[in-house]
Amino acid sequence: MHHLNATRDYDACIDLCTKMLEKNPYDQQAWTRALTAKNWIDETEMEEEGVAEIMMDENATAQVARPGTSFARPNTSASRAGGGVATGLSSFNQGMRPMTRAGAPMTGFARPATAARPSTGSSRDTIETAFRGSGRPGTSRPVSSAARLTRLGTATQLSEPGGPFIDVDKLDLRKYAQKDALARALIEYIMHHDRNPKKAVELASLATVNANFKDWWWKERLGVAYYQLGMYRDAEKQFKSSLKDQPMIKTVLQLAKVYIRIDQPAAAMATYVKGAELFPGETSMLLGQARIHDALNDMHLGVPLYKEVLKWDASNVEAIACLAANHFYTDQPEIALRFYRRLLMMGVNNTELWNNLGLCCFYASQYDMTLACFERAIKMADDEEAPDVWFNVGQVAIGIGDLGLAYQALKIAVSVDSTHAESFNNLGVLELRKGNVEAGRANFEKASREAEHAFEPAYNHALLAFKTGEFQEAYERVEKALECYPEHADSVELKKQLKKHFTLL
Amino acid sequence: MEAIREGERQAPAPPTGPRSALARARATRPEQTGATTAAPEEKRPNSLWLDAWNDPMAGAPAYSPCVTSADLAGDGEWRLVVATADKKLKTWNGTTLASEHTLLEVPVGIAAFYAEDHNNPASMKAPSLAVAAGCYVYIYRNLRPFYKFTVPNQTVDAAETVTWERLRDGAIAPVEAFETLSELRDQGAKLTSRSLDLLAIEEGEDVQARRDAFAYGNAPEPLTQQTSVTCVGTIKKRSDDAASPDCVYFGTESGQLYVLHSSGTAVRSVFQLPAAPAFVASTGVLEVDYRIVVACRDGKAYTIKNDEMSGVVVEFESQPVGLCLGGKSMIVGCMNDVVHAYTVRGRKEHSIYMPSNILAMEELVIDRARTSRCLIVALGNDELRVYNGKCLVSTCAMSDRVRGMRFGRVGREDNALALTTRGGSVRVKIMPRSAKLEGSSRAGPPAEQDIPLAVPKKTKLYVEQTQRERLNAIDMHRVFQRDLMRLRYETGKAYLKVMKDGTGPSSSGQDGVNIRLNATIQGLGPLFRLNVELKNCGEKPVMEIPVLVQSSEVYKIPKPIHRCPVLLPGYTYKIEVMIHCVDPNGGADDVHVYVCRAEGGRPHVNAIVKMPMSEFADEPR
Repeated sequence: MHHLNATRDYDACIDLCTKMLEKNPYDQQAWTRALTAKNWIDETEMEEEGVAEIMMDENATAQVARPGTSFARPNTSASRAGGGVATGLSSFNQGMRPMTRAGAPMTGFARPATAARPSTGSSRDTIETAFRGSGRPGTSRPVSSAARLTRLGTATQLSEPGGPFIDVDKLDLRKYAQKDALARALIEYIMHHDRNPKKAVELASLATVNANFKDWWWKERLGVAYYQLGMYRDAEKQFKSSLKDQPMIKTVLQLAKVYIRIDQPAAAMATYVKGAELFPGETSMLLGQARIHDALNDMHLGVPLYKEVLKWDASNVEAIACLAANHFYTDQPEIALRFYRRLLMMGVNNTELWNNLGLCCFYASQYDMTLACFERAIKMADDEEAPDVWFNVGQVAIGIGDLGLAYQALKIAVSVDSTHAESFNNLGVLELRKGNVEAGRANFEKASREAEHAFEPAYNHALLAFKTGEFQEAYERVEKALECYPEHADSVELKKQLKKHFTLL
Repeated sequence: MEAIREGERQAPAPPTGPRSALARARATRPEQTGATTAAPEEKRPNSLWLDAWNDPMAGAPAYSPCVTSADLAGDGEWRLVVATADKKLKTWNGTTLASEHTLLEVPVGIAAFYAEDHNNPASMKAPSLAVAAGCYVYIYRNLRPFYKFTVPNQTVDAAETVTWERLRDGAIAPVEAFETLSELRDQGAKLTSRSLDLLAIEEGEDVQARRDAFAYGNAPEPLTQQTSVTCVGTIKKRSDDAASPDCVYFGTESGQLYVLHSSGTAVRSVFQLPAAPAFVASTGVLEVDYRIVVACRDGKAYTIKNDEMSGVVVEFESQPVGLCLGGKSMIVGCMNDVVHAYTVRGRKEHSIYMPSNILAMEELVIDRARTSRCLIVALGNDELRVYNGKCLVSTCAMSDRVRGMRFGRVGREDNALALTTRGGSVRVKIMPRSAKLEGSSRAGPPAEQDIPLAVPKKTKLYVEQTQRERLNAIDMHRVFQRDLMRLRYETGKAYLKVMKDGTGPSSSGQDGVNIRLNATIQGLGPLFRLNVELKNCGEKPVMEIPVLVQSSEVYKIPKPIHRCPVLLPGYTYKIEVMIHCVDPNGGADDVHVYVCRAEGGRPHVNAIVKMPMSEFADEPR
């Protein structure tokens, strides 16, 4: 049995244990971690926020936070607010770097729930936006992250023949809290298999009392359970106390996670920095810092951190991908190409990678490999990825001037994902070129509705309205574009022209 | 059982390329007419002006035409004279209020002039004051009312006079008079204000009674039409000397420009302009060679040269807000925040674009070793700017909005600027002798050109790749062309499939029908609402469209077929479909939406809606 557990053949292990328990129902030895391990979730990663957390956020302190102090306002980076950008290219620029669907700056790596909360735009707090999933088309948000855990718990119970393995509600937790080793196994089971944080809090607090408030492990568990219940300040207290007893990597990560969830990037950053001092060479600390920089739009500050990560761990996918994306968007596709090639050599083989390779080849003028990469990406893509790949094919087609091909590719993209705003925007421009003004207008409208954070459709729409003489409409649209991207030079220019028109005789 | 690793690291997200490339390519910059010069943005030290005097409680709300300075006592001590909007004429001697007179009407402008009076040569020593208000020009001599010049009456239409006379004599009733007058108005005759007042009585119950009362009440008076003064100025009569006689000229509401004799009691000449003058300025000497420029309310500037209307007409883009005539150029500030400079012949010299709206403009003339002429502009962002030609010489921040200003001699200081502000305060700023008025005219390219752009350096890798490209150009091209053909083929195939299946947000529109479909899901489950939006993007209306919603057994749809009787082009139609999730585990599946054809065959357009995970039902269904 222990052998099976060690070799991670959890299903076989569970079978064996079930047999033993059938023979002797009170054999406590057979209580195993196999069930727990099978349903393990990495607790140190952020989870997606639920609808309830977004709509009924009680922790929100400032509606309009100061620049650079909130994840909700990525467009106000501290370095930009600090008076002029000395290194114009290293900072985030919407014209150069696209945004994700939720309106957060695009990084090189899709992470769970990084900036999943809809951040900009007027409809930030409407229920429709809250329900819309963060990442992919068709996904929607869970009601709350706790509900999601419960759902995972119930799903696991449902799929078990003969009901749940341990009925936690009937256990006398006081009794089990006395037996330290068993209690540890039990709480892991409650948290990872049953996903019942309420019971976990009960058990953990009993056990902590039992350990005279000296055991870091129980405090950490208690913190995690509080966190799952959404009691962030209590969780913070437990984690801090646990760290005082015994600094652990896991606890530091959990504490930082609490700060990220209550939208305090600076505190999270300080936690990571302290953690990095305690545990030199721990890449998760460095990655945590880099991610916060990315989410706050200070991409250039993240770059040295990713490089540092690669010094310790030369095959860290996240660091490589982020560096590659950064090089790509700072006009060095040839270097990005090297990074992506490294990923390929490491055995990563998926649509996104081939797509990125294709783009890098195209912009680095390695034309003989470009289209082969895209072809491969198209072959591998499923419905989630296909729209993006087709959009990029369209982008390349526009680049080589084959507008017919571009039109077809973009049409395919929107047929797979009818909410693909970027494709709608570009389709609109192509329609305008063909002279279909109405179709172009409809496309821009659709694009702005789907992506409220994007300035391109708003600007294109404004320009179209300006040319067709609808100045009021143009003014409204250009205002919207400037709301998304205040420095967009063409929008500023257009607004100036409009103002001139309005003040004319 | 299912292992779920939430923190699973996913692969790099696809960079979606530089999307703004197209947007950028579509940018236009409509041309700006004429030469343009951007005002340099940098602030200069406030070295041009010294604050001499500030009286925040002066109580002098006045615009530029109502502010002037003159040697009223003839003692070389120039008084500051302000005709305020609350009907006061105030003079200051130094910093003390020397006199205060009440005016009968709200002043529109004042001017100091040396009157020529042969009966009383002593009066030539000190200048008189002309205060234009209503339809009079009041002339003050030694600060005592001296003469009231009444603007001549306008000629009245003969038919109108006859009508009123007959009304007075009782030959016609007010009803007939009303009709005659209204006919006259419709024929385009210029009626007097009395007739217009009568015609304006047209509402209420006792219209006729009120008309009668008005007509009988006014008929006995002789019919005259007065006009009022809009702007006023002075011009030297014989020579340029400071104390030589001046002539007063003024514009009227009815579009005339009157030039008076130097005595200020009789009209010398009258010019009819196409519109009412708003601003007026002059250069030269009346009996030698002169030019009066009048900026009118029709957005044009007309020139009168040596007693003749000249053909030079300058048209502005926007209404004028200020006019200066200095040396050989005419400077006009417009409502669209631009200052245009023209030659006196009407050729445009340059434009200066202001960062804010223009409140007041004044010419700055300093006669030193050489005469320097500058332009002072007060802006809506509380800045006071001085321009030499098109170069910014100085910027000075004001604490309040400027209303009027006048540059000239105040007290014994030659180069002083008197300002009135919105709050009614009066300030005097003086220009030190050391002030430099030469703008550092940076001809040629702007300074930004010398700052290098932060373009990332091309890497060695890039050079190597370029080398590769150069060596294998032919092969690369061939491979690329082959791949491109293949990609076109693949894309075409996929596109054809999209067209055939009718998937995608809008139908392909080969048969002239173009319907856009948008489906969204609302709700947490087990009850969902599917919102289907249909928009006809084609040209023709489409009739009788069945909309079918279909799914697997996970969902129960009570009403799967909806009928849309007609889809008009350009309108959005909404259909709501309720969907129950009947799966006990709250599973999720796809729901298909088909927009079919009335006559059958493949659907116009269809969509696949990915349903979210459903919450569990409270009680089992």
